[in-house]
Amino acid sequence: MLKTELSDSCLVSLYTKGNNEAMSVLIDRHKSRIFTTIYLIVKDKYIAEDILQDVFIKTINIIDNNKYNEQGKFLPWILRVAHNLAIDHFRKEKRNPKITLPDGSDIFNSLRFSEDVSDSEVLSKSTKDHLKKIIKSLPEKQREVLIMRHYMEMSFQEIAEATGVSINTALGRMRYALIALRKKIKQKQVAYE
Amino acid sequence: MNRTSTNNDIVKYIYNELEERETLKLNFKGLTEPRIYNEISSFLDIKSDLDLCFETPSDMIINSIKERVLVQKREKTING
Repeated sequence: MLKTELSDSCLVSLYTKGNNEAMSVLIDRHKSRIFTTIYLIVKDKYIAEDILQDVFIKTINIIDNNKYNEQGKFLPWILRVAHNLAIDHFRKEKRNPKITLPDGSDIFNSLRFSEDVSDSEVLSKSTKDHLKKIIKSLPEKQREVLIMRHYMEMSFQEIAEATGVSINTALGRMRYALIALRKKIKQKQVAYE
Repeated sequence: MNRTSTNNDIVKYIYNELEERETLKLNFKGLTEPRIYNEISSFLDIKSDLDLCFETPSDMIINSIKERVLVQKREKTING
């Protein structure tokens, strides 16, 4: 059987038995979901990549030290690790504010941007970019629930427990987030018409 | 079913968390009440839009992480 068809728990088990390729498959399988979760919290692609590295290093250390015991629940577990590291970074960032440009972007990113990215990419303003901006502009509590439910695939009950609110509050926050997204998407469509 | 619980049920519904009995009730409401129908369909559209926002890290970072796995394992084997 190809490793890509194996379950996460089988792959973790293979990795603990010395098969490094199993970890490669896990990385490829979940990189996008984990990276998106981090990116939507820290709002910076380069920082998100640094944190992604930290997430996998932490994961490997935990598994290598036989401290991993989330049987069959690798993805929710690693997403929690990612979420916590991203939040830690976000809190540090709040204590040490970065230099921002008038449009709110980080000045250092914009320097890196001009070095690394082609003109066509800079000019491209896709629906995807617009949506990401809208998500980033949501109030923190709403964005948190949206990321946890949509990208981390946590249930509303799990979100309620993780954030210390009732399930109705979690549902209410998600609803307000969806309404805000709908409103802003409509505004953009009207602007184009 | 009051308006708040219907609103919460709609959110659960679009994320497939509503129990079967409640799902049937909401399906019926969706057929008879335009507000419910519009709310469900617009939220489902947004849900599809949110799927567009998945990001992929650069190959360079992924390769560096994989390399790190190998180095760490090698070190562990050498150090016993």
